[in-house]
Amino acid sequence: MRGPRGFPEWGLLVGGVITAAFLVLAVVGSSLVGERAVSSTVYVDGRAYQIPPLLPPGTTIEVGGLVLHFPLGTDQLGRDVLARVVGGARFVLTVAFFSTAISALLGTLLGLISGYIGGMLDRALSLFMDSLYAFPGLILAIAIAALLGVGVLNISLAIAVVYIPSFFRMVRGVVLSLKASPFVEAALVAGASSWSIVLKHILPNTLPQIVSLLPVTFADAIITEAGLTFLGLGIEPPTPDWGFDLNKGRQFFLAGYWWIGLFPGLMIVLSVLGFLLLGEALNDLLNPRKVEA
Amino acid sequence: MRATSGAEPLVVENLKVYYPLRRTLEDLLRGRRRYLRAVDGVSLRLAEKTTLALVGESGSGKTTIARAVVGLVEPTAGRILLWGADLRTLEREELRKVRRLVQMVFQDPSTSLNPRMKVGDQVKYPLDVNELGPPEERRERALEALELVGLKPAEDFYNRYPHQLSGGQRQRVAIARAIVLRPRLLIADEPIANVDVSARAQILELLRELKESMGLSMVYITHDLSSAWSIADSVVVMYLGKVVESGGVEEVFGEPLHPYTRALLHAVPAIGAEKAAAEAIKLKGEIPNPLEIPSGCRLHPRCPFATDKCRVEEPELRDVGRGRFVACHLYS
Amino acid sequence: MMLQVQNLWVKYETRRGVVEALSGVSLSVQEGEVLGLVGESGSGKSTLGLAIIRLLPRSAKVGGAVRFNGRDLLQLPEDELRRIRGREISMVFQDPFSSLNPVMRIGDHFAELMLEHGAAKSRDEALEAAGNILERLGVPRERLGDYPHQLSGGQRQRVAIGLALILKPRLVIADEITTALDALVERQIIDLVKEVKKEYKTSMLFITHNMGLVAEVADRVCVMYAGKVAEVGGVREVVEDPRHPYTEALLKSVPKIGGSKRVQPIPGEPPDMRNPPSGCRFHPRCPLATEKCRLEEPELVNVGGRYVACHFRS
Repeated sequence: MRGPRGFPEWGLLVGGVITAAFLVLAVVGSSLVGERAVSSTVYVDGRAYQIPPLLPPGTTIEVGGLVLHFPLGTDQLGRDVLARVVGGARFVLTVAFFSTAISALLGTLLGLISGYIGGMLDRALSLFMDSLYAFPGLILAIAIAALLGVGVLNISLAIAVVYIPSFFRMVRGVVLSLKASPFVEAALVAGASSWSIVLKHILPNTLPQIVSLLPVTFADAIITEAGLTFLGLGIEPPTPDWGFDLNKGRQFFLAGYWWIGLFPGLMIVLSVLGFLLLGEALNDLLNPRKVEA
Repeated sequence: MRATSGAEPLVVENLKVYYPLRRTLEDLLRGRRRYLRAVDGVSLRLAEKTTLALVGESGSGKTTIARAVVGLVEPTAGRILLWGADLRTLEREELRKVRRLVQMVFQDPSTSLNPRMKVGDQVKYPLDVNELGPPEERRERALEALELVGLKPAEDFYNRYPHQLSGGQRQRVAIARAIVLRPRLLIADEPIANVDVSARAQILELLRELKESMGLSMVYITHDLSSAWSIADSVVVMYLGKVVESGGVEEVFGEPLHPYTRALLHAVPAIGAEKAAAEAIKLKGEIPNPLEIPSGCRLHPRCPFATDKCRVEEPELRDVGRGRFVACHLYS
Repeated sequence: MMLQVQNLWVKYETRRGVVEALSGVSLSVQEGEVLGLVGESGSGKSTLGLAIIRLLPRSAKVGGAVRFNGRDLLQLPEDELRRIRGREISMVFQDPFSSLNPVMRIGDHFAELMLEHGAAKSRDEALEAAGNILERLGVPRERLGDYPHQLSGGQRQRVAIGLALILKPRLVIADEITTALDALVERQIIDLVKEVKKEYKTSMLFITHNMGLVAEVADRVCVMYAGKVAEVGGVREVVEDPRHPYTEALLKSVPKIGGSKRVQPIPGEPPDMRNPPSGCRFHPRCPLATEKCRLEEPELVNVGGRYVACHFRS
């Protein structure tokens, strides 16, 4: 097997590895770190000990006979930053996953219907989607999150609304061009119903574009989620979350406690980078722009 | 079915297909509606088990007629009769049954096949869509169709995707898809235009074979007179939406009457034999904008024989005997 | 000998493997002659044209030599090539729409070309010459002020031919110049090419898939298959007495009006250029093929003025 050649293949490899790592983190992370992410209390032989807050990275302390390492230090409440950073993955990535999935499903469905049926329905929906699209994403999400309240599903919905127009426009565009293609006409001549044409002929041909839009949306959703929780929306403490911790860390940054905010921030950057790389690489591979002689 | 057996598979009566154009400001001010008159009063008849070549250059309307016959486009006026049945008078169910008997092979095999569907499934698709026979049998029939068009071993080809096939093979798939419903009338729209030179003869011979073995009647649309000569029994020559000449292919090509037909024949690049200079007829200029159709006879601005009458009066398609029709004042 | 192609090979790297578009092609074009280059897609004929004028994409690897006036074009630096392109060797492409810049007037196309090559000292001088050649080619002089989209397909192609001829090049490469045109316009352009041939006496490499066109326009013809030369000879001779089985099969597969209605198709499929057949590339489809044909590639042999690459016919 030969090594990766060119950007698409390198991107796929690096992006894929990073993405996979984060996905693993999301699934098992919370269970791995358990209580240390949410509580600063440690129990040894039935006695409760408080972990000191604001310990710098690399500190090792002894608590009631137990030796505890804090490679990334502790935050302002004495919680293990590493634990919070690892545990934070679950909430963030779950929300990003749900919002991407919801927006992809709804956007695609509406795009298919609107594009194929056309007429007034199409005009109305397109107008609606365009207005939604014109809205600054974060503000839209804030508005809806404020309405819906806390919880994974609510915040996912709030974020999903921001991305529905992207999928809608893209799918609708593909549907419009496919509607006129000869193989669709051939299906019509054979006597196919609209339903059959949309399902068997149009939808499969929109898949590559949809798939290539997914990772980019996912990355964007992470950032939007971080933005929402940064402002305190959608999340209930003490759930670990990168955006939320970034905010708290910001307040302590100037006082010299840089590690509280930096590491969650790094996680946001890294995860987004991973998904973007994957997305760009997938896009290049699935929708090649270079013309082969 | 109200169709009469023994009736001609296809009769087109005074067909008109007009496309309304988007109104410009000028149109609104002048209070007019402009149309692209793609087909402007065309009549033709196809005899059973024969091949009719519909010949013309761009803008002649030949493809539009094909699309009207298969139902992809609505006629603006005129009648289309399939086996004697006027399509507009048929009930939905009957219409569907008749339409199944008319199938089409499209021009470009790289766009007439779904890139994301297995070739065999695409051949099977018309059977699925019409729910013909039990599902297991449909696959068998699809395999049979693949074999009929020469894609053997059929099992092998069934699972391939279009991009894995050559242009000629793709066109065979398109033909297999068109015949799987066992149609009685096949409309072939420039089936060899987008196919490699060495595959063209293969496709032509395949169409000829299928026509024989399946007893098909065929409408063969082309701009290439040589292939029309090869495969057709009768020919209809079109220019800017109207028929200029029609008749048996040997007669029309051997003794072309209409100046346009003569020019078309002269235009064919000749290998070897020099053409008699006396026959050489050239038309000035190029096909005019179809939105600005010349008055009178549509060919008059380019025709070396044009007279004042040609500029003013549109010639009618006249019967000049021996099954031949010409629309030209030279023959009235 | 004005143009001599020696053992030219061209390879492309695609995602699915290496494609050898040309595998050791040698041919020559004399002063004032029209050489027809006939083949189907995959034969390498267009690649050959582009290789000569060095307009292949950067991903193409080229080897061999292309001698023009004694110099090897493949070795020349870019600035010298630019002086040759348009002036000594020019090209006319298939699509009359995309070979002209849609935002430049026709006159500007000529002006830019002539001023760049120092063939005119002023814009007015260039436009004067441009108007003359357009009239000669059947396009009214007033069209100089138009944009390409305002011209018909045939007119655009005449403009392209005008641009190719105005600097009086020694060689014009015409790549499928009538394929995209309607039948009657194609006839007009072919007749025009014949006139131009008589008047300008420029050499031409006339690339097409249509044997009939070649028979009308060319003096000699080179038949290509799968990246190699199959047969070369005088056009009349090759057409009336084809030696290579491919040439023969090709001629028999095209219907002739007034002749037999049945055609004889060439069996099989055109080769996959990522993995061309061994030995003689035509062997899987050739009625004469034997074991030798499968194993050994035939050389292009001179048989009394005709070149044939076939184990049996040379």
